[in-house]
Amino acid sequence: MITDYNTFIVHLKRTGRMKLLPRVLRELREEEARAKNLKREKETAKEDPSLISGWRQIKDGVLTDNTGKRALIDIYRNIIA
Amino acid sequence: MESIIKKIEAEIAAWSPKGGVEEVGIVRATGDGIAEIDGLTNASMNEMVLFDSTFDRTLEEALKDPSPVYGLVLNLEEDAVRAVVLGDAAKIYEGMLVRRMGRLLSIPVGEGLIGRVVNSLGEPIDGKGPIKGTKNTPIEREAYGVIDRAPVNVPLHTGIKAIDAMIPIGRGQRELIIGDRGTGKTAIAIDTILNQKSEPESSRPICIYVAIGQKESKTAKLVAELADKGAMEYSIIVTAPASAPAALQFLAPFAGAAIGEYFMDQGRDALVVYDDLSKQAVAYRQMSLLLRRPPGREAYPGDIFYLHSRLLERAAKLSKEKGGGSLTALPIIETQENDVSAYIPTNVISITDGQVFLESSLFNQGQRPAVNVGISVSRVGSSAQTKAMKKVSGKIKLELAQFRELEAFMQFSSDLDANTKAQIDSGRRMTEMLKQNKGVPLPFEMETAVIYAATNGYFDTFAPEEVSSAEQKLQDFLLREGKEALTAIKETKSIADDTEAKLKAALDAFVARSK
Repeated sequence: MITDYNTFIVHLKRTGRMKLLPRVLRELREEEARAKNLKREKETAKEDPSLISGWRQIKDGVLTDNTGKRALIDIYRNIIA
Repeated sequence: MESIIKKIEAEIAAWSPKGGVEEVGIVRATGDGIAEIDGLTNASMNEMVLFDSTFDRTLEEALKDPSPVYGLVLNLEEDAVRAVVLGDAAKIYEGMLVRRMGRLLSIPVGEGLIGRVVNSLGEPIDGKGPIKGTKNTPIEREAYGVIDRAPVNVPLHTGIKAIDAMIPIGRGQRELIIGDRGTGKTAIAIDTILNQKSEPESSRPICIYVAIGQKESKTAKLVAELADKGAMEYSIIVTAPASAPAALQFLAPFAGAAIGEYFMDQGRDALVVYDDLSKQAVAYRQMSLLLRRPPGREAYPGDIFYLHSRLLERAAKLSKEKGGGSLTALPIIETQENDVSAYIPTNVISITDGQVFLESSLFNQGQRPAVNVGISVSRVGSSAQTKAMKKVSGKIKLELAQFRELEAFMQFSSDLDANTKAQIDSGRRMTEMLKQNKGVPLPFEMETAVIYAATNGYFDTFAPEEVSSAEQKLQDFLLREGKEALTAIKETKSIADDTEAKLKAALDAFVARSK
């Protein structure tokens, strides 16, 4: 990740690689979108009734799922297995 | 109904939340059975992942199709992982949640598989219900090392005279069956499986037939044939048909090896037929190209040799300390225009302990099995050959080699001296004797007796073209009047002087009656 954008642009200018800037920006946007995908706000059954009960959250690629929906699906899968 | 309610109650009571521990990823892109996944930074090679379609759906929608789709992680890249989809790739979509399963790809193995037809993931596909009595084992495992192994010294009889006499196979050996399409490669493997029925139950190997990229109709026919002849009692079929995803075709031989290893680890013998590894190589090439691995010769990936060597190295004869079990492998390779020097054939030839080469020209001449004795070889099997077979088959290879040299002169037979003519006739008789229809493997003692008759001139009274029918008559005769000699050979696995005298007497009587 780039932390200091000013230094980064100075570096591109000095090395004559300013043409790369749009590509770098595109890549940064994609990376941001990917990071966003892997981070979801806490969802609760109050906001989303399809969760039935409880809450779930994705943080840094780790899912915490304490919803009733998940519990029922797990039980259903075990029964039909 | 009550039992269902009880089961539901039990499942509800047993359920406990396990939130907060699951690492997940998101499908970034998918296509051609490959999924590119963001996240899963701690995933390892060959780890299973679950594509979870229930995450974004309502409970009602999720329960309509609760069957999970699994994937296998095969590429770990800088910012993503690539996994092959082991199932219906059409169900995978961009943004789909992927869960790590924390275990390597495993399949169920055990006694319950015997007599069943399963796919590469060990799931039953024969409609006979769930498989019981199994435990999960990883599909990929490191092969046994030198210390754990013992020399190959127990024969695995194929019931095919030409092979048992000249290219003997031992338990724990890897013998390649190679030839063009339609030359009888599968027939040899199937006859070998059928022949195990004549083995005593205590030493009968469990036979695993792995069908890779074959037509389902062919596999169905094969299963019916094995069932008809009572061979499914000790056989397991693993199938990844031509319609299956490339990943399942690539995995099928490893599943077969894992199943075979289970029986080997129990101290039992197992036989696994990989039909065929050329198709597995093609499936692996397809996967590798889609995974964007660099292509090498003929566009195969750089590790195509390792793919086959690590698979075939799992065949072994274990030491007594390890239980003494064995896993014999009969890989099959299909050649194009009899070219054994192509890339995949040479790889597998160099890995295995010998090869049975089937030639289309011999097949078309009516020589069945169409084994080219000249370039077929068994590197370790001769030490596993029984004394009886060794005694009777010693001369055959040499005699056939001499016959092949003289064969070219056959068209000038009127100008040949009597000695050469006799040698040619003897070679022709031997060739006729080695012919054998498919589906009729001979018990070891009968093979020995017939070869003994051929090498000791008992067929000399017959014209070469009469040898096949004379041999059939001899078999019937021996079953009626040579039982004592056959039983002695079967029990002692050798031909002692008294057994030889009995066999000679029976053969003399047969020749006398045939005149």
